[in-house]
Amino acid sequence: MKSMVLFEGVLNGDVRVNLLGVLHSVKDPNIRQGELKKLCGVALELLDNAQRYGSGPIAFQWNVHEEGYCIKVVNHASKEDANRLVSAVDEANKLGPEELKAKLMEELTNGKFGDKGGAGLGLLQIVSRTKGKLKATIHHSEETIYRCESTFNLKRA
Amino acid sequence: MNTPIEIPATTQTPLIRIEPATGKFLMQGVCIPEDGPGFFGSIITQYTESIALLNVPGVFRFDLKYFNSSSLKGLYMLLKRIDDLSNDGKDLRVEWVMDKNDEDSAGPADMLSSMIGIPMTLVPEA
Repeated sequence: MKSMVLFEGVLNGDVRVNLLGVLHSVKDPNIRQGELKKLCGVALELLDNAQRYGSGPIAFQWNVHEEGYCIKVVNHASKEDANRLVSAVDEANKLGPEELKAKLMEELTNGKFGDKGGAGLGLLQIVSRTKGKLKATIHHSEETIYRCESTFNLKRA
Repeated sequence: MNTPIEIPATTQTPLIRIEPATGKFLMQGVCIPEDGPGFFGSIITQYTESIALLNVPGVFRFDLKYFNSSSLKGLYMLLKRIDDLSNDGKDLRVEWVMDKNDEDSAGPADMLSSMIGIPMTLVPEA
């Protein structure tokens, strides 16, 4: 069974909530509720990042197919935030399970949020909880603006 | 001063109900605020002030369908505050409601409980 959700436009709190509502309502007998909740969690964290650090419209894609799941968010951000996204994803992907756990604990207990209200946990949680593949690429699109593409892939168990 | 406090749920924030007379604190719903630091800063203040007024044991129930990572950090800070006040002599207990459709729903509770050292009772969803 296949399902796809596509959104293009300006992301705000209402859009985020409505998208999550649609994703939670996916009725696929091959996805357990717990699994669906995890996937929605991945989508939520990617959308949170796009809303927090991005500017202008975004593109969101949720794709469930026979082989697995793909969630992709494309947004625009400053050079600094775009580079930080790539660094954070690279770092999370390099960590082993114990290192990931230690890094999560460190971020969780540091008692502070980032300048834009982020907790520094989202990408770490995605990699830690899902064991899926997270990839981020950036492209210089305008003078000071970068196009960021965050893609999450997970094969069916 | 013992007036109950109720902050209605929104599409992004949970219901907050504080009953100082009975010691019951409830956080229920989804927790994905756009401004996590602002939301939890306010909640921590409300909880702290209400705990100071308690003449009965406090029971803190967390019944959250889902929450984002920014809220996980906010929950950590809130539970840390509850634990600190408990260590100062207040009788405070924490209950965490498990989602019956999510086999991993006890995970965050176990993690927070072990990190902070605060006991949590896992409560099955009604």
